[in-house]
Amino acid sequence: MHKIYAHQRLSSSLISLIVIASILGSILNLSFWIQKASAARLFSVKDAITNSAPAVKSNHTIQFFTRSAITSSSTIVIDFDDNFSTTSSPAFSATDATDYDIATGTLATDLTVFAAGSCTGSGITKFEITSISSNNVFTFTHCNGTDSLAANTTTTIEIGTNATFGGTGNSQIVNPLVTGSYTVTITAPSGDSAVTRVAIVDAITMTAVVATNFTFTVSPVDAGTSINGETTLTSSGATTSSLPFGTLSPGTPKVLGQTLSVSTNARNGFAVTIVQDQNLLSADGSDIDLFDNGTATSTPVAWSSPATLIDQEATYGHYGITSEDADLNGDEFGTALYAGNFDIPRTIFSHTGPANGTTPNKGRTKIAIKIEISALQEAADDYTNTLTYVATPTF
Amino acid sequence: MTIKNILFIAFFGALIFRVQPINAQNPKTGIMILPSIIEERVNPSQWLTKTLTITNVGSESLIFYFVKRDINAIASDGTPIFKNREKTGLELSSWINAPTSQIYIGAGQSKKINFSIFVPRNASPGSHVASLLLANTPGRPQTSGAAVGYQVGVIIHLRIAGAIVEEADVQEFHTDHFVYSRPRVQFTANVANLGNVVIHPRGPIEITNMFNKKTATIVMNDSAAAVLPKTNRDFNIEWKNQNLAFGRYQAILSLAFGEEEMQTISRGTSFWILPMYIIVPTFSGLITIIVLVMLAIKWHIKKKLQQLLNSAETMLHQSSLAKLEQDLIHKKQRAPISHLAATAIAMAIFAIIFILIIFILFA
Repeated sequence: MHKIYAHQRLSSSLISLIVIASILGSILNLSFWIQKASAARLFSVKDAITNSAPAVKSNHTIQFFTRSAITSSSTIVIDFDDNFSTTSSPAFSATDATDYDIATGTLATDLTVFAAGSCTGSGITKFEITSISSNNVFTFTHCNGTDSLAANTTTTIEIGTNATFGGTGNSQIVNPLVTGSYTVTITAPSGDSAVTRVAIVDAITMTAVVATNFTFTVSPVDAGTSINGETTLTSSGATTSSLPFGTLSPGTPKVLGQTLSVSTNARNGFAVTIVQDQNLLSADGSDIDLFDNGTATSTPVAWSSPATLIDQEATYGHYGITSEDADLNGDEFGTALYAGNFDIPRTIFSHTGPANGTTPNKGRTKIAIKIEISALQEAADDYTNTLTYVATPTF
Repeated sequence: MTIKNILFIAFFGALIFRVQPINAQNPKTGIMILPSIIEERVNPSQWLTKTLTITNVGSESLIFYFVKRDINAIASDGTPIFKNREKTGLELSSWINAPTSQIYIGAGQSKKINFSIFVPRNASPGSHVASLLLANTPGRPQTSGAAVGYQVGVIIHLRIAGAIVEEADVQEFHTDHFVYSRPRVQFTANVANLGNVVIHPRGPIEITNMFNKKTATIVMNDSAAAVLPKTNRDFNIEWKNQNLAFGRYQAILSLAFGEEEMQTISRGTSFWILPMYIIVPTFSGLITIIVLVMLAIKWHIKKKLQQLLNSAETMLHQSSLAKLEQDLIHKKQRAPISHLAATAIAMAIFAIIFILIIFILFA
């Protein structure tokens, strides 16, 4: 009897333990909590290189700011990621000190760097290149002189052909073969360290070599065309240089549109903005305000008729803009959504690469201006303004 | 006059007067500019002369004039932000000498326009950026409506020799959510140009999973768009992964910039991927399995007990049997779910609720 119950308890306990362990293991995710303690007291650490392309030789200029003095017999250790290569001919060697320059912000000239075991003299601060390990660890030792490298100063170490003090270097570190970012760990003096990164990226062709062309055109949209899913079809009358709304009837919106096209070989593409010089303004001072009820809505929303509130003339009529460019800010104009904030330049068409002037969203799009008035809109037949497109390549 | 003579006159008349087809079907207006981006390294007190080729690609002749505007900054979508009135030290527009009179270009025709730039002796070193725009402004309409004009710009970037400072910083690097149900993550980096020259920061985002294994590498700002001096610019890129993803991920952004020397600026962020379409069914399945196994074991024991009782009927004394039966019934009643099993079920339910809350709040 007891064996049966014991068996039951053992089975359910085992299953329960497995479940509990799984839940704890996945939620806690132990690696997340394991933090390596570090006593980094190096600041403003950076490694500038002369060429960031993969698999090419490059000079390195390493800078760091230390709060501790670098005293006699202290070391500066620079550990490059194993994907760098220091053995390319001519290889780095501890017997050749011309590949290294060390400078500090407090001294006018660079410090003398000696080959390993060759440190001589006294008084003047000297370093030696003590060793270069097979896994790209360069160790420099303060080998002579009573002066320390003062605390709170910037130390600069050049490795490569950019080292010219006391002889020009002839070795260079070869970049990793694959695009990515790679660590460089600097420890100086012992216990003070920091890690910086070097980005290795493929080189790109500069546009200065190939002239950038840019073409921008505007053409009217025919009557009866829907723009950006607008259910009110476009009226007739749009031209290349005007959007003549003509006579407006209260409660009956009108839509006029134009087609914009851009063709360019600009690497980063282009942007087209629109801006008005004023609200639609009549000679007697009456105006029709921007959508929505004069608020110049920046986030496109569905069209709504003017609110028509007594003594609030901004609600008597309004007009807004929509664009078919589905790439623009995550398709912000969606389907028949309108914005009114083109009293300041507002982007209505853009692309992030070369364009051919015909592909929708990338080289061609349609924009529409929709207008609607209420019965309270002041009577006039000369509400006018000027809209200006500004089209430029993207820099 | 014979028909032949009439046709002869009409033919030569057409040749002489060049009857233009009226393009009423596809009217369009526009211009092409070459080059549209000019980047030069110059010295103070240097003259620079450039030639623009402007082509009227529209169906009607046009009149243009030049407009010069300094560029303050570049928006995240690449739109240049033109300077209004305040001086920033980047007033390249005042150095440009372009024709001030109007330029007439017939439909389909091209013109070469020269302009020059004189860099002042005391021009500040570093980058100066402006736009030379060709503007076309139509007259106001006769009735209610909008006149529509346009300006097409040439971007001019001059880098003036002197004390060049190349310095930048990644001010922010983050994802659009903290928790995702699928590996589709939008990264945004805000880069500040702290120097006095235009930079083109570009570099990898390396994504590692919770086992510190590199999952993906994507390149931020692969087209090397510019960040103007003393300005910030946002860059965005999306990571999509077709494979199953789960757990905590880390992303390290490293951007290289500079012309004389390439410097790297880095920043990291982290996010979670919790595929709810897998987690919920999995935990639910676990709970179901636990319950089913427990029920199966209970049923098995109950069955064995019943067999024992039946076989003991003929062997034991009635009173002993009654006592045994009572004992068995008592033990059955005292054999509830084990504490561990209850703990496991409670933890599984808690885990599901916890993950759901995290997902609702941060996804």
